[in-house]
Amino acid sequence: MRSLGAFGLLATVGGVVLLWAAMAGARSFGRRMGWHAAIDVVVCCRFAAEAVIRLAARRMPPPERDRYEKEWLGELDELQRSYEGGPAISLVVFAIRILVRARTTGRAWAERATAARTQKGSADSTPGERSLGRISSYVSVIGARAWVAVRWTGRVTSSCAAWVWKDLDFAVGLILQTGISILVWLMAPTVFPDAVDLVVMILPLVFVLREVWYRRSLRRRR
Amino acid sequence: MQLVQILRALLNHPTKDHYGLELARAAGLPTGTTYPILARLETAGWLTSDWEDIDPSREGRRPRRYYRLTGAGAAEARAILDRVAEAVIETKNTRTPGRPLPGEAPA
Repeated sequence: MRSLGAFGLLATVGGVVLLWAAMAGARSFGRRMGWHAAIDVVVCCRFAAEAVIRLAARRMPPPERDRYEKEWLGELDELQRSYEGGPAISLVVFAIRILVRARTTGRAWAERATAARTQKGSADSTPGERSLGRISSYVSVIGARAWVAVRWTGRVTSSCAAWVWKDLDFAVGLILQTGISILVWLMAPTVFPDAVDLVVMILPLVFVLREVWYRRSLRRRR
Repeated sequence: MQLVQILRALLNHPTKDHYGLELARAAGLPTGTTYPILARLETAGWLTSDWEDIDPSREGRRPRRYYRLTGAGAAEARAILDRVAEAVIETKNTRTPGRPLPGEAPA
């Protein structure tokens, strides 16, 4: 076996030392990078979780939004402390679970607000007055549309009422109006409790205006 | 059943203040399920809730929202848990012999 010689020995030792230093450096760099990457993931997850919680709070009725946002963000702090060094994704999972059930949480408060409003209404008006108020919007739109139909087509005959009821557009409009009213009635208390009365007032007007526009376009075509 | 689990967790320490995450852990429920139940109990008057009185900058965290059973709520909760316990005993007594209850190991 050939001897390495002084230079060869030095080169071998130097090479080993360099290799060791490179490996140690890479390990240290990797650890540091891994640590930074881990911190980045935690920060991103925290940011995403907070955004999701704010979105969930927006699904609550307006008077409860601030309260639930603060409450859930507080719980997020608590969760982050208890999972220190644990999976940061659990923060996002926590927030998503809250978001998924936020509407159900909000419904409990909306139902209470509706019940309170109904009780207040009961104190202010009699059941007859309330019923009249409810159906008056529909009666008014039926009457207004019949009047518009007669006025713009000039059909003042005994079969006028029958003609109005046979009008397909009229029927579709009425069904749409009722459907949208019911939908708004069901959905609005969660999103915007005061919207119901406003929509009940405005919808007939919208449909009457649409009727006027439709009859006008018919006349122009003739 | 989820309501029963929450009520049981609340009744374990009826005079103590509980926060949502703590209740979810004690009841073994996901947090998303816990808050709708707490909201229903609160609107029904079985629970009251209030903010924790701390200085957030000093404590390094936001204040928690604490829930506590009201007197009427505690009484109703006990009544419900009693009824559930009775129903479970009744089911065990009237079941077909040899047929295990759901979640029970077969004999």
